[in-house]
Amino acid sequence: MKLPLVYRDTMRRFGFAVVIMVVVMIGLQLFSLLFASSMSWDDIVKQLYVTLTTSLGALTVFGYLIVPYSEFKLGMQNGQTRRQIWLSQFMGVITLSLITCLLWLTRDGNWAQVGMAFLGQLSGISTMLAIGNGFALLSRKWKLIVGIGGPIALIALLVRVITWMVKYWHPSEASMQHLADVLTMHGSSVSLVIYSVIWILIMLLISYGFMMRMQLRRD
Amino acid sequence: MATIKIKQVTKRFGRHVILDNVTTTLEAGKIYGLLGRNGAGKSTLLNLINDRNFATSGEILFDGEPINNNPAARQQMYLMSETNMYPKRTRVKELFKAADRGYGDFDFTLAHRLTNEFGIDENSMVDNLSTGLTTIAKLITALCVKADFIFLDEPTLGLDASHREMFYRELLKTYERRPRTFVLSTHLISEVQNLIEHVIILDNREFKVDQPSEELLAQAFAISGPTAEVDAITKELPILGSHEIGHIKTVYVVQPIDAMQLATSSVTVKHLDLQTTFIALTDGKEL
Repeated sequence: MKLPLVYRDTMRRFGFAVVIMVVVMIGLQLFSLLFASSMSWDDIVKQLYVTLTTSLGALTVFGYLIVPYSEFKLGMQNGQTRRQIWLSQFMGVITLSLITCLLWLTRDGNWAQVGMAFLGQLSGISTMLAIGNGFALLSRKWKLIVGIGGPIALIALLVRVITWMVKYWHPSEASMQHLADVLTMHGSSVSLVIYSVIWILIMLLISYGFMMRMQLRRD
Repeated sequence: MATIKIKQVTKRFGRHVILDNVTTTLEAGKIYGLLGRNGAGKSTLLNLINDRNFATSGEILFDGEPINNNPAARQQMYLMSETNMYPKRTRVKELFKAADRGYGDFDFTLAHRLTNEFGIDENSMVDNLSTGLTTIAKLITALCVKADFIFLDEPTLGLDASHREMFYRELLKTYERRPRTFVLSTHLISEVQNLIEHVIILDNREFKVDQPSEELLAQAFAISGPTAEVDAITKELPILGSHEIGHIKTVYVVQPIDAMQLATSSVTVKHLDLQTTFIALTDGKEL
């Protein structure tokens, strides 16, 4: 089966970014040896691996903030429809979530947690894909406005919600623990899985909607 | 064979109307010239046809079906434009590979021959090429891609005279080998006059001309002679433009006239070339 054009190109670019990241991290780790000569070789390798796997997770999540518009242009130039481009994006999200989780598995060896970790990674990347596709609709001016104003508005809203919760909702310890588990993607309850799946579906739907409205910008 | 129908398409950017209720049909196997002055909306129209932008109203149909999210339509249309559609650090050979992955059956043999003839290194990065060589790399991709409707927006941007001649020659060769529709949007009208079968002139947000080029040129005239005589002869005709040198006046008319009847011993009636016809039609000066 021929891999979709946009998917293949995005994986190549992420791969390139990972190679750069690995080279930089190895360089930094070797540099830090100058100041921490008491560390064993095993410790160094383990620390490097932990840093790499965590950074890879962050790279895959934040990478989707910036690639959507270039994916759109590449797909459009080469005979793809918006639906096909979005399917490539969806394949990319799944692939990167799987790769990241497999790396975490080799690091932690905890099969039970990897399922939740996969859902957590998928939640993060799909959210960034939705935001990235939304950003791709905006002109440069509106990107600045939304990019700066958006997080500030979100923080203000979160503070307001927390204030109301403290004032009007007096939950039990069990409820608080459950909420903390949901927000930090810990535990393996069925409800946690359901919330994750619902969130992922909503984000994928939003990213799809944004892709269907994407156009070539003048700026 | 498939056609592309543009039906009552209007495009606005904010309050600014670029295209106003335009309608035309692009048929299979023809070479079209899409002409218009700077800012007329040619690139906008090409972007709409290739589903890169949405029309404000109206529809564009490929073989009777809307082009939006239509894989069959997308696979048959290729637009080469000035806009950079590739990620940074893309090499020339990667343009070809991407077109092959997207459309299938890319003619790599022809592409290699053309890169040699035009003097482009396939391993060079498109970002590092000059304007002319970037255009050539995109043109080669357009000539080798497997699609039945090829849209070329400013295909001669940055090209020197020698490269332009090579391009026109290769365009004709590929057209003879595999007839398909080419739509050329260019300002170098005199150079493409002999290539174009059908002319579409976009002016003042609408199609001022949409007819075979032979038909258009058959009714495009320059009437020259002594000023008084020319004024008398052309009194009832819609004059699109004129100029005077001394006592000799030349007026431009684009409509069927009896040239033999108008011509006298001192007044000549000649056919215009496509460029002069275009200028006369779009200059907007009617007397």
